[in-house]
Amino acid sequence: MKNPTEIKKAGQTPTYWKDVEDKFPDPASFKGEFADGELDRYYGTNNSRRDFLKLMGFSFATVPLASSCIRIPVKKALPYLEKSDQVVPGVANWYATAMDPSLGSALLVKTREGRPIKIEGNNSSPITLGGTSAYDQSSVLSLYDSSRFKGPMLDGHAKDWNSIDADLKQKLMAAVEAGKEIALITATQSSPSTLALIEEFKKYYKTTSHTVYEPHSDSAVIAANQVTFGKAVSNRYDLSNANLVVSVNSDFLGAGCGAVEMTKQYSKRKDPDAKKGAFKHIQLETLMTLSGANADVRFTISPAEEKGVLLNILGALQRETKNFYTPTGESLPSEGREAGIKIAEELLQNRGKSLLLSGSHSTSLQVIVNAINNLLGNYGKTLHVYDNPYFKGADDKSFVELVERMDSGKVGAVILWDCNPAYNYSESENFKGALAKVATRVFIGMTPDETSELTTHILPELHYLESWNDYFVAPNTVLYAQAVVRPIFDARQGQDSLLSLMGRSDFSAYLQANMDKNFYKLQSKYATTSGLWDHSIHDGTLQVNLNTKSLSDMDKNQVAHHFAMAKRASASNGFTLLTYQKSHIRQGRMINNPWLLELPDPITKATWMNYLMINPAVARAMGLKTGDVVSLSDGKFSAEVPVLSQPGVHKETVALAVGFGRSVAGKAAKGRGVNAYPTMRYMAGTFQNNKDGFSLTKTGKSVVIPQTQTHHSMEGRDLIRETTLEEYSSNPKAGNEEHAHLISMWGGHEKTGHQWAMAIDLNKCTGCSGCIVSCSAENNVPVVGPEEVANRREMHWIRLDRYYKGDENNPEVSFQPVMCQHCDNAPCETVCPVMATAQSSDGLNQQVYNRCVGTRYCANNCPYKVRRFNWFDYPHDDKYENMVLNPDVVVRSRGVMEKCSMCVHRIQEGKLQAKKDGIDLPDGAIKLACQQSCPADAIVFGDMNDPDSKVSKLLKGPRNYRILEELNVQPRVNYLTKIRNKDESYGRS
Amino acid sequence: MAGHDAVSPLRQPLVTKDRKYGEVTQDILGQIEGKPNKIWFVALAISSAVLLMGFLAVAYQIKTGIGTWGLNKTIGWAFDITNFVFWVGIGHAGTLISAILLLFRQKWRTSVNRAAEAMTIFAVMCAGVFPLIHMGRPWLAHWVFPYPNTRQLWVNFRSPLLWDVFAISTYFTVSAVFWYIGMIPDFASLRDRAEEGSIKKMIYSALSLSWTGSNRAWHRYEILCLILAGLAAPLVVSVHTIVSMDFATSVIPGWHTTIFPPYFVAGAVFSGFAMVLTLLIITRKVMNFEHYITMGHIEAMCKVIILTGMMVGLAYMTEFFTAWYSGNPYEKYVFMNRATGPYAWAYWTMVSCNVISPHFLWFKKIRTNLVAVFILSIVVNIGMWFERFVIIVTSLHRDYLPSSWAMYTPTKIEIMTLLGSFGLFFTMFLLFVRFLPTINVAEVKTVIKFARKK
Repeated sequence: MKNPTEIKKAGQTPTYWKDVEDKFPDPASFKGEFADGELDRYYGTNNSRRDFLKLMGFSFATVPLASSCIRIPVKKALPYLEKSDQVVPGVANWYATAMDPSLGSALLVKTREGRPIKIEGNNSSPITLGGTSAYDQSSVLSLYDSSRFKGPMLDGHAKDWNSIDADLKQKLMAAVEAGKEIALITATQSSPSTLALIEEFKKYYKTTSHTVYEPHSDSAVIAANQVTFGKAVSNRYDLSNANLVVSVNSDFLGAGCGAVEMTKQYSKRKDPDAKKGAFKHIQLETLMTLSGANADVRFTISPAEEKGVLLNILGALQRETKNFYTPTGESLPSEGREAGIKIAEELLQNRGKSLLLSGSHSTSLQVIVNAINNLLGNYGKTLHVYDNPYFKGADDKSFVELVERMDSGKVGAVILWDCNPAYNYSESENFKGALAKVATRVFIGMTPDETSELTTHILPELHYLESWNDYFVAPNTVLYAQAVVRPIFDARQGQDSLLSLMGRSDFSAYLQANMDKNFYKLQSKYATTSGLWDHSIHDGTLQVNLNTKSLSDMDKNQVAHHFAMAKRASASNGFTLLTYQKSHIRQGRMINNPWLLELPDPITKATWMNYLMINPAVARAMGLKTGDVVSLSDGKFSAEVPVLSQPGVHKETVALAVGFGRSVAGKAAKGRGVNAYPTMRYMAGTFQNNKDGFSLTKTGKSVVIPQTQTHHSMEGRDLIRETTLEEYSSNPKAGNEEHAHLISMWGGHEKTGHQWAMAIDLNKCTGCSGCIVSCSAENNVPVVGPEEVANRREMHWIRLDRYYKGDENNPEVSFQPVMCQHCDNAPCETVCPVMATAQSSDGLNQQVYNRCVGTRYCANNCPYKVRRFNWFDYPHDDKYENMVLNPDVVVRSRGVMEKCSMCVHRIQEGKLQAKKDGIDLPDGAIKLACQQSCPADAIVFGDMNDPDSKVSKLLKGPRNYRILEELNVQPRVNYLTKIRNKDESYGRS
Repeated sequence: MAGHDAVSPLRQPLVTKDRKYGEVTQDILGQIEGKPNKIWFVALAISSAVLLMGFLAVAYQIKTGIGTWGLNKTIGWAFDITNFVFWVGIGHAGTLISAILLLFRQKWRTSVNRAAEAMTIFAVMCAGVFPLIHMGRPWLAHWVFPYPNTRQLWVNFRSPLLWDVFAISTYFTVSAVFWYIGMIPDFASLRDRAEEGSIKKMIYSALSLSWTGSNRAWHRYEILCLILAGLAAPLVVSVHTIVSMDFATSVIPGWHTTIFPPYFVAGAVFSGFAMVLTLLIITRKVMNFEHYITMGHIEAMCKVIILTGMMVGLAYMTEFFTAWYSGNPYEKYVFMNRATGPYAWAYWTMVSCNVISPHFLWFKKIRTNLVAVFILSIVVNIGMWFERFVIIVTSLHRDYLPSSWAMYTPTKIEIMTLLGSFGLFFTMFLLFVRFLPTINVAEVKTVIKFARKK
């Protein structure tokens, strides 16, 4: 080796050479420096013919070998013919839009190269405040549902729009001329423009009637408000002012339509450090719901007790306040008397700061509830009945009357828009018979269903992401929905169909004109109408000075009548069957959605089907275990359905979720579960959701209900740490005193720069499971189907562990979101033979899919069992569904392990943005998918090296702990203790 | 060999029939020179059919995915690694007999070591199949080797699976070389006995590496055997120690325990000797080797089984004691769950087969009853298979977070694959007894006069 620094002569400054050419300008002079032939190759002058042949021979021999070993799929990429100035390949565009507020939230839609791929909450919405539900998150997949109608159809044959419009116009006109009714049946309407349009339609076709039909809704609340306030509107709640919430069979955090809004308010009130004072939630319910699982005090009550408790609360309040709505001395039912009196006392202590909710489908009981809230002075404070001009809610009575009119031949045409009574009306056979008597049957909807089968004109409806709309939410918010993608199929928005039938077109223009007419004057922010339009569409929301009146002057005269109605005892026999809505399936409108079907029910952890929930003690007494099929019958209705032994269900009750058992639907939903709608009955003006007189008989058959969790006890382990609010106020470390004293021979990873960490507040998390869908959508997590879920092979990267404690008739429930814990001393990393999983410099445990050979050792050695293996090549062959894939995240092939990446692509994007902006990455700039969608704001993510970040403050707090600390795996995911506001006086420990 | 002519009034003869050197050669090599009998053909047909079934099961699994097995998110290993550990364990007896007994100058090994070594090699081959096919992407199996590549990827030397790769491949190489070297003099005998110009002669002369039988050749042969025995002896301990570390170095309760290395080695020797017994009881009968593989051999091996069976039993008890004494709630639960949980039937099968059944061998009547010993040897192997199943599945199925607790049920494909591995093993063994000298002719000749009266 020669020293590269050559000193020419002593005393002279040394000269340095930079490279060989610099030192030896003449190539010949450094021949000896290199091995023979090396120099020739370097200068590329002297390749012999032999060398060429050798090289070519090798290449020719190896290329076919290499190419035959690896199948390279042929993929075509087409460039834009004319590039849109708004689309930059690789950069997402975000658009504000909204789902109908009776179903969903104000949303932001992420589109990539023109395709909507992800739903997020719109922070500028004053209602949902950036929160979303599993239902919202899943809706983007329904856009790509390949079972959607591909084009309009007339009498079962494809037709073009012009001819079907012409045919229909002529038939509708003929009906008008014949003096026959045209019945327009829609879902709940809260769109000012759509309601205006329907009014115009009624004028154009003079015999038109408009009926709102919802099979399983809060129509009793609307009817009760009609009775007590003279307005057929819904309630709006405000938990931020409430100290006490008493819910009687109302699943306001789960299946209620305002669940996202309620969860936002609820989780804020549950913060034990909030200055507003203690918050208590008492739930009285017949089956275990998400709301009951979160309650501080919970009772399991029978349907008779539901009535008794409400009547006794009213009775006690009347006595205490000396304000009698019902005749004094009226006798009260004995069921639920004790609880009712005690709850009434507590409600009285919180006058104006309390709220009574009921999920009852009985108008009379809802009138009682209104009376109670009125006596407590809650109206205008925690509860609002707004004189909403833009609302037409479910009216069960008018639908039943319409069916009668149809049956009597008075109806000449029926337009069924976004409703499916042939499936979900309890007397569906009557409906079908009546429908057959209507000559012109028009269907406006996205997918084929039981009703569309029976219609003559099918006008395919657009998905909401392809549609324009506005929604008014009282008192003063308008939400705007814009089309974020061109129609995928040859479909047309329902509103446009109505316009076409009136010889007009372009609902978006209609929407804009309506905005100018109704709302321009009611705001002062935007000077021009075009400015108003641009900004409102951009923001997705608009605040107007409409300030709809909050009604608080109650008509008390009707209360006594409804009190007497409600009191009328009904002898109950057999099991009472309660039909309920699963918190993410709801009425079943979006049932053909694999993400929703595979999402475990927050309580039962069951997927893909419905089942009969039954009290565990009753099940044992009958010799039934989860999965055993029983025959459920009340003489009129009978079905074979598997039972699921569910703690917290009342002994006299069984419960069956609606939305399943579809006979005409897409392939995901068709034939799954049992249709529960036929067990509902129309009584006293509403569709009732409970009916007694059911018997169960064993069939001897058994099925596996696909559940993602089958063991429900924490086995006394220290996984969810909790305390009571009382103990917490004296000792913030309560329940979290013990921490492992750990020593290690290894110093650990260097922790410089960003070090990501997460804190999950178990007190805020309601277990709603929206994060699961959000994560799956963001990270292209495959859907595996019911058989594979039953094989315990679901692929979700985040799961919600749900544990029961105590009395099986009324257990205490805890939820815990668990994803990859990103351990510093990760057990998975040391065992992988090929180093396919490794720690990143910013503290993430990263899985390298293309290095993974699939030994599954990492999953075995994971104490949290969060790793998911690709057992098969999960199908990605639906060309429509594939459009929802996030191009930022690779689709994993079979045989590799995967798991939560902490949305590493979002972290990269956030870091890159901060770098481009030339700023330090601000805390909170990066939001992970699960965190963004969480309506309870339970997940906080950030840099734990930044002492001011929210997460590093939480990590230092007294409530912070990590699961299985004693293993010294040093997880980066932290949990904050759960704090229950327990009340021993209610007799539940 | 004059030294061997001494008369021992105490010891039983190792070869029970008075045979001359030439007769020994004829007894052993004659078996593979003649035409195979019908039983052999039937046995080969059955075992190769089972092997084919296993092959089809594996082919289907590799084409479709690991999902064809009964594994799930909680239980990532079950039949695959159970079979792997089982077969590696089987191999141990062969090395123990051939290497350790050679080093300890145990002359009785001479008539059983060849077959036992062959068993080792076939068992390791069966074992090696499972780590390969249990991979999600077996076509990338070469990634577990540290070879230089342009992507600058390297293996993880902290992973016990990688230690396995080295341990098993070293073990297989040393065993195969040892086995082959030992056969060279016998190949030469076969070569010399073969008909001039026959294919047989060509093959055996190639295999015999021009063995001349000179004094120097014998000397080097014995020295090399001794060196290889020296190399192989630590492998007896190291291989199963490293296999046990797949579990011991993990964090899973029921796996994370320091007792595993000695416990696994004892278990391996236990199961290995049982398998040697199973094979040799048949071989000696079918091949007329009753005078070479004597009741003395069988009794000696039975005694090893009693000893190692008790060691295994002690390990089971120690595990339970430690689980209780440690105060670790997770470990305590795992062990209670083993004995009383949903897989209790597997646990008690294991205990009855491994802890109780060997004690029958204390009785000489049973020990010398071939049928009883044969049945017990199979019982022990069933027990040892279940031991691995219990360790793997019951530890995984209920570990730390109860939300993930799950059950495992094998699929048809897994059962076919397990049977297929037996098919592979027996097919190999049947071919071995037909085409290679089953008893070391050269070495057994050194003991025929050992205890013979003059």
